[in-house]
Amino acid sequence: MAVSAQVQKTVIPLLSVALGLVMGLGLHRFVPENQPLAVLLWAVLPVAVGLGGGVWWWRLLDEVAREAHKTAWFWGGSLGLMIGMVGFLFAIHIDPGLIRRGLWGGTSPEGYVALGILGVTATQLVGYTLYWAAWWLRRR
Amino acid sequence: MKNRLKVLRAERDWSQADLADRLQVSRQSVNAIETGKYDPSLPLAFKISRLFEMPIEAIFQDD
Repeated sequence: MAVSAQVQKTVIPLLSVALGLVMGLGLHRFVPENQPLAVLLWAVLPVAVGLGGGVWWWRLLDEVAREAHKTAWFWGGSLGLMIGMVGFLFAIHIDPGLIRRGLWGGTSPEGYVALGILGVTATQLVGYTLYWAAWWLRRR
Repeated sequence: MKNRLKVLRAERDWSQADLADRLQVSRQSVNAIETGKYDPSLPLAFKISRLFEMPIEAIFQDD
């Protein structure tokens, strides 16, 4: 049975995100420590599947939908990151002990790295999503 | 950029979804083009031109 393009456009990103979450959260549970090759394979698999799914999904989109995503990623992602950075600088200015307390990631180096990755990704994604929604709303 | 897509579509009694199917784009994309809020690429403009069997400049006019 052929799956419609509309269903594929919805399911592919959801499956990619779900796989990424399962693999990320399952790293410590399923991959033994001190096994760099296993960790590498565990990390490469979702990236490869996500990339393949991304190419497949992109080819299903028409040019207007692609333009919306490209514009939203550049402007929304950049604005989100900039606003996030300003917000972070403002937060540590009014509460200088914020970094020493470790926010949500603890005070270990790994916690700071994870928080940095999460902060950059989350601010870009929020900016991208809002800009993408506004782009389509303006063209209704 | 102005265009006559809505008129040409109405003359053929096509809905936006009908036109979207024929152009292999989404209905939202047809709406964005039709209302002049998105200017199509040259390949898509040629596709529209072939579908309506009219030259591009008879469908799209510069503001």
